[in-house]
Amino acid sequence: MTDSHRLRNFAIIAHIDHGKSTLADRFLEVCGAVHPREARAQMLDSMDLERERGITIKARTTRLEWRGRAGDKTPPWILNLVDTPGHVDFAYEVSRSLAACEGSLLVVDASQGVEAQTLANVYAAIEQDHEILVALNKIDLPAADSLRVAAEIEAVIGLPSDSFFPVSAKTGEGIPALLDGLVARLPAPSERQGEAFKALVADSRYDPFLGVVLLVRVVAGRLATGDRLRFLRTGATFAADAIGIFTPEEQAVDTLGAGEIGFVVTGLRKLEEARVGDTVVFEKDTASLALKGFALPQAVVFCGLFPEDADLYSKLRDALAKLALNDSALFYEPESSQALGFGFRCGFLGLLHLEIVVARLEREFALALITTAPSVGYRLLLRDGTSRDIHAAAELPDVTQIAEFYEPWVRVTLFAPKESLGAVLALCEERRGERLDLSFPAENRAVITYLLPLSETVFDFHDRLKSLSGGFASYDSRFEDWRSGDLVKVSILVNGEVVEALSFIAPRSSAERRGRQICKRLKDEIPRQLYKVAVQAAIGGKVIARETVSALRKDVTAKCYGGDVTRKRKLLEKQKAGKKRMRQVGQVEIPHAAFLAVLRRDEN
Amino acid sequence: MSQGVSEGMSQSLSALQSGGASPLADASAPAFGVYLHWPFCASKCPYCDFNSHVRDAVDTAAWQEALCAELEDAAAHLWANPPDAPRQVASVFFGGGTPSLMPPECVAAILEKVQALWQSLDAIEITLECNPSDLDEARCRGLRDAGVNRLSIGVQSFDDAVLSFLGRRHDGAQARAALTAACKTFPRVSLDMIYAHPEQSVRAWREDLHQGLAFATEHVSAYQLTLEPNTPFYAQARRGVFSVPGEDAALALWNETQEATVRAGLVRYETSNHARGGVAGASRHNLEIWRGGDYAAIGPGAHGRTTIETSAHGRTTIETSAHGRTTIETSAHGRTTIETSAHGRTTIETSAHGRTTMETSAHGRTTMESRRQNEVQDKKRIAVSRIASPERWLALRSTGKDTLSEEQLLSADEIRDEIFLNGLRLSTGVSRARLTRETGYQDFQQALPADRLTSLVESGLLVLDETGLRTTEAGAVRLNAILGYLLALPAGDKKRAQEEQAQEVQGV
Repeated sequence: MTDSHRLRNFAIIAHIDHGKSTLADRFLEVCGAVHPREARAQMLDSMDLERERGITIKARTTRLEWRGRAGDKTPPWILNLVDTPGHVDFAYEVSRSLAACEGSLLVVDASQGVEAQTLANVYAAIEQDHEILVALNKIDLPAADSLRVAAEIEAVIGLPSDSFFPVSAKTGEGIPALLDGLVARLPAPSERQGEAFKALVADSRYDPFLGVVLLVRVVAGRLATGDRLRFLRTGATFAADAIGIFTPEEQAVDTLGAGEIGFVVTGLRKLEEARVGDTVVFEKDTASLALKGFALPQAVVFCGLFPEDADLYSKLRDALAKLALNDSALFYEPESSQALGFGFRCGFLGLLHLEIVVARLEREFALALITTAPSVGYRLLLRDGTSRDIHAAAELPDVTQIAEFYEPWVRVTLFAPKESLGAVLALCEERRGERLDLSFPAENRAVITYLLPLSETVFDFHDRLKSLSGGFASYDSRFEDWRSGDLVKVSILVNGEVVEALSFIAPRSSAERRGRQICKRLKDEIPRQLYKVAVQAAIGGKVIARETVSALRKDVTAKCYGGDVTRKRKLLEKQKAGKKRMRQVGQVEIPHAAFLAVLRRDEN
Repeated sequence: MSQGVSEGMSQSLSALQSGGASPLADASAPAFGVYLHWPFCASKCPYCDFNSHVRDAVDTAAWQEALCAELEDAAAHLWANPPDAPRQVASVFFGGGTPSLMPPECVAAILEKVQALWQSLDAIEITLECNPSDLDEARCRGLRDAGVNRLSIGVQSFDDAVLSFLGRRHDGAQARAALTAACKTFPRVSLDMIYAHPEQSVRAWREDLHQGLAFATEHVSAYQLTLEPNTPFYAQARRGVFSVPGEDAALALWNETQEATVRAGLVRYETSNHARGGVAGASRHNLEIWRGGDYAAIGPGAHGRTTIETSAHGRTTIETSAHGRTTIETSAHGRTTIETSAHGRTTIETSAHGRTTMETSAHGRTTMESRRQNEVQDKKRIAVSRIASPERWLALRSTGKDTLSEEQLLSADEIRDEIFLNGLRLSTGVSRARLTRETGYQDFQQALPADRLTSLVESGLLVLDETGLRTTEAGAVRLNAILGYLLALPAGDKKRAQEEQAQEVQGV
C-alpha cells in the first residue's frame, strides 16, 4: 500500500531519437531498479521492432523508488513512469497514457531542438492540465546547444527556460537532480476520498496464457486481487485474477490504491472487450460514470494484403488473427481480387502502423506478401440520402449514385529549418494544402500549420519532407474534418480488363497526370510476353492514358539436344516457381512488383 | 488381369505404328538411340559450354575399352532387353567434344559392340560429328569403313574473320575441302552453321549460308549464337567487349535463314534444323529424341532416357549403383518397386489399375495418379546422366564401377514437360499418338491448361488439329515464352483440383 502523497505519475514525451527510452533506462539504473550489469539498451521497448526502429509502439510503464539525492528518504518516493508511444499514428494511445498521469517530462535533444511531434504531444499534455518539466538531453554531445534550444522551447511552449534540467541520459549527468525536480514540482495524485473504485485503461495487451492484461491507472478507491470488475463501455465483466506493478518486471501486489498505476490480469480472451480509454469499475457498481476521453481506434489507412504464394491464404488469415489479438486497432476483412486472388483488406492507424504490421507478418510468420497501394477511407453521401464509408476504389458505386464525395482532411503542424521553408511550402501547396499559420519561434526555425487532405500525406509526404529539408523538417497531423471534394476513380485496365487492385481515387485536377505516371511505371514493370499488353488509365469510360508493352518477337532456344533436356526442364521448374508469384489478368502475367508501382509518386 | 495388360501393349504398338512419318514406323519392338560422348577437343571454342576438354594425350585404347564396357553395362541394366520383345538400336550418334579425333578402328570396335549387344534396325543411322580441320578423304573413308553412314560437320561459317572470331581452328578453304571430301564419301551429310554474331548483317549471313547450301547436303543446322553462362563469350559480352544482334536483328537473320533454306529445297523440321524432304532427311537420332524416344547414355557427361515397360510376364530387375542400388522389380500383378539408397527409400508401387504411389522419405509422400488406365499400365521413364569429368569417368569405368551421376524417375508432370519441351521444337509438333503413349493423356486439353491452349491457338501461335499440337511459324520463334506460358501450370486435371481448393478457401 502506497501513501498517495508520496506518489508521482508522469509521462515522458519526446520526439523519436531524442533519447526518451535511454533516459528511462537511466532512471531505472539510478533508482536501482535494474542492476547496470543487466541493463541492455531500451529496457522498456520489448518488441524487437521497437528496439530496432528506436520507437515505442505500445505504452510502457515502470515504478521507480527514489530516495532523494542524499539517499535518505524513507519511505522512498514512488515515481510511476509511463513511456508514451512517440509516433503520430499512436496519438490516441499517447492521450490515454497522458490521462493516467498528473505531469509530463518533455525530453528535447539539446543538439536538435523542438520537433513537431514534441510540440503536438506537449499541447496534448497541456490540454490534460499537466505540470510539465523540461529535460534538455544529450548535453554531452559536442553539437549540443542548450542555450539556443532552451530559448526556442521558451518561445514555442512558453515555459521559462531557467526551470529546465540539463541532463545526459547517456552519461547519467543531471539525472538525480531531475528526479528530485520531479518529486518537488509534480503534484501528487488526488486521493478522491469516499469515491467508489474506478480505473482508467491506459493500455491493454493479449497474453496467450493469461488472456487480456490491462495497464490501469486507479483514479479512485482501491482494487484487490479477486475483485469482480466491469468495463463501462463494452460491458464485459471479469475477475481481477492478479494485479501488480512493473519494476519494470511484473511483480504481483495484493491491492492497488488511488493514484497508483499497475496491471490487471483479466482472463478475457478478446482484446475488443478491453478497449484502451475505457473505465473499469466494480461489477456491482451501477452508479459510477465513465471517465472522459474514450474513443474507438479509427483506421485511416487501408490496403490489401495478399500472400505471394496463393496457397498460403489460410496461413495469412491465422497470422492476422494472432496479431489482432494484441492490436485492437488492426482491422481486417477477407477480400478477393481477380488479379491477386484471396487476401484481406486491412485498416491501420497510419502508415507506420501499416509498415509495422506488414513487417511483423513477414518476419514473425515468414509470409511473403503483396501489398496493394494504401488508400485513405472515403465517405460518400448517396443520392438516396444514405451515407457509406469505403476503403478502396473497388468499393465505389456508380458515379450517378454519388451526391457528395468526402475525404478526410488533417491539420498538419510542420517544423522546418528556415532555408528549406520555401520547398516545404511548395510541397504543401502542391498537395492541395491550405495554409493556416506561419511563425518563426527561433532564429532559424519555422512553424507552419496547414490543412491538407489526408490522402496527400499518406504516400510519400514524410520522405519528401525529409529529403527537402536535409532530414531536419518534422510534422505532426491530427484529423480535422471530412470535406467534400472533386474526386474521381482512375481505373487501370490491362488489355481492356479493369484491374481493381491497381485502380485508385484521386482529385480530378491531378487524376490524369497520375494515371499517365502509373501507366508508364506499369509498362516498365510488366515483362514483355507473347502478347502485346495495353495498359490504360480511364476515368469513367474515357481513356486518359495508354502505354503498350510490345510482344516478344523472338524468344527460342537455338539448341536443345538429348544432353540439354534435363537442364531445360529444370530451368522451366525454376520459371514455374517464379510464375507462382505472378498474377494473371486475362492472358497477361503481372509481376507483384507492378502492384507496388502505384505506391511511388514522382513529383513535378 | 494379364488379359488387360496385353491389350494395353497392343494398343500402344498400334499407336506407335500410326505415327506414320516416323522412320521408325517399321519398328516391331522398342527402338532406341545410342548417344556416345567423346569428350576431347584440340582446342576449346569460346562459345561452347559442352562437356569438352583439351588434353595433351589420350589413351585411346583405354577409352575404347571403357566405352565398350559402358555399352555392356547399359545393355545389362538400364537399356536391357525385355524378355519378350528385345530392344532395337535405331541410331548411334557419336557426339562430343570432337569425335572425329577418334581413330576409325576405335569407332569400328564400338559399333561392333553395339551390334553384338542389341538387335539393330536394318536402316540404322550412324552419325559422327566432325571438325573440318580433322577431315580429309582418307579419314572419311576410314569412318565409312568403320560403319558410320552419316557425317555432321561443324563448319559454322565459311568467312575467315568469322571463323577466327568463333575460335575455330579451320578457315573457309578447309571448310570447303572437308565438305567436298565428306560429300564424296557419304550420301548423308549435315553441316552446322552459326549466325547472329556481332555486327552480322542479313546480307553477310545470306552470303555465308549460301556457300553452305551450295553443297546441297541433305541436312543443315543453323544456330543463332547463344551466349551460354560459363563461357568466355558470355563473360566478354557482359564486359561489353562485343554485343550480339538484338531481338529484331536476330529475327531478320532467322527470317533470312528460313527463306534461303526453303529456296535451297530444305524444310525446317526443328527449330534450328533443316532437311531435304523434311522428316525424311532428318537426323533420325535427334528426331526420335525430340519425339520422346529413349536414348542410351555412353561416355562422360552423357545423358540418357530409358522407359521400362513391363509386360504380364513378370519380373524385371534393373540395377544401378552410382549412388546405390535401384531395383525395378515387376511382378505379374503390375507391382513395381524402385528403391534408391542415395535419397533414402523411394518406393514406387503400381497397382493393376494404373495408380502409382511414390513415397520418398525426404519429401514425405507424393501420390501420382497414372492416367494410363486403358494403355500400357506399368511404364516408367528414367532420366540419367553420367559423371562429366573424363578422368573420373575413365577411372570408375576401368575398375568396373558405375559412372552414373544422376538418375531420376520422372514424375508424370516431368514427362509431360519433356514431351512438350522437345516435341514443340519439331514442325510436326507433338502427335496425339505420342501424347497418349508417352504421357497417358487422351487429349491436349487434359495435358495442358485448356484456356491457355485455346488462347495460343486463337492468337495464331499454335495449331491444334486431329494430328496433334504444333507451332505456327510465328509460334516457332517464340517457343520459350509459349512453353513458359503452357507448362507453368500443372496439367489440366490438377489445375481443376486446385481451383476446387480455391473455392473452399472462398467459402471460408
